[in-house]
Amino acid sequence: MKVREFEILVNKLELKTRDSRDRHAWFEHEGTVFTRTKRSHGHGDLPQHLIRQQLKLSEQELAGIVGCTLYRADYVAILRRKGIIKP
Amino acid sequence: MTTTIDDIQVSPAGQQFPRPIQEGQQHVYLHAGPFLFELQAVSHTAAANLEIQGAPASLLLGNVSDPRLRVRVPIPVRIVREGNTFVASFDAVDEFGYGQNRSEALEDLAKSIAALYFSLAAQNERLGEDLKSVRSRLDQYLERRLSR
Repeated sequence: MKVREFEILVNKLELKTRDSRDRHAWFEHEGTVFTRTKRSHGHGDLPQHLIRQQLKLSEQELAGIVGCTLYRADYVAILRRKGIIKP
Repeated sequence: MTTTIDDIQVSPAGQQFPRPIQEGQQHVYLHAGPFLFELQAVSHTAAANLEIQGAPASLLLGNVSDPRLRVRVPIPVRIVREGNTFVASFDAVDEFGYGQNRSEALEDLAKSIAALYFSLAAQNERLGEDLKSVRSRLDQYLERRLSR
């Protein structure tokens, strides 16, 4: 995963971020933090499968978000379906 | 006979550096901080090269590079190479580090684990169940050092 794609994720999912040694990002919904991820400020490709794992996304779902066919509301629905966001 | 090695520098597997070898035993284990590497001497000449082979794909991390934290239970780490990037992961909490070599990846992971610990602690009251589980698992491996 490229840094550009990571930032697309951040923007599409409206992740909250904090920049320190790394760029930390987390997903909040109705005041609760459900998932988190991060990237370093260094060089190199990011390990996509591990970022996906942190965000609880399948390859297809991640591609949808990066490819602008899925948005934050879809992500909430995905997390509900997977039991991460409980009713 | 024991191979004499002075001031070994840790390097990724496959990199060579000159080091005088006197004679003898081919396998030397270098414990450098939290890392354990196996070195194999490929020559017995006075100015032979050492080639690092068999760098572990998994190891135990005993330090997260943060003076505020102590590792209670060694952290199992998996290291894989993905293209030009090395990725070290602590699968139990879905945390990872990456870099241009194993050392960078491990250092990145160690710092990421520490950052995750404090981040989850700071947000404790607002964590969903999954992240609460992550925090609980982290607590099994880490604890805060008592301030003196």
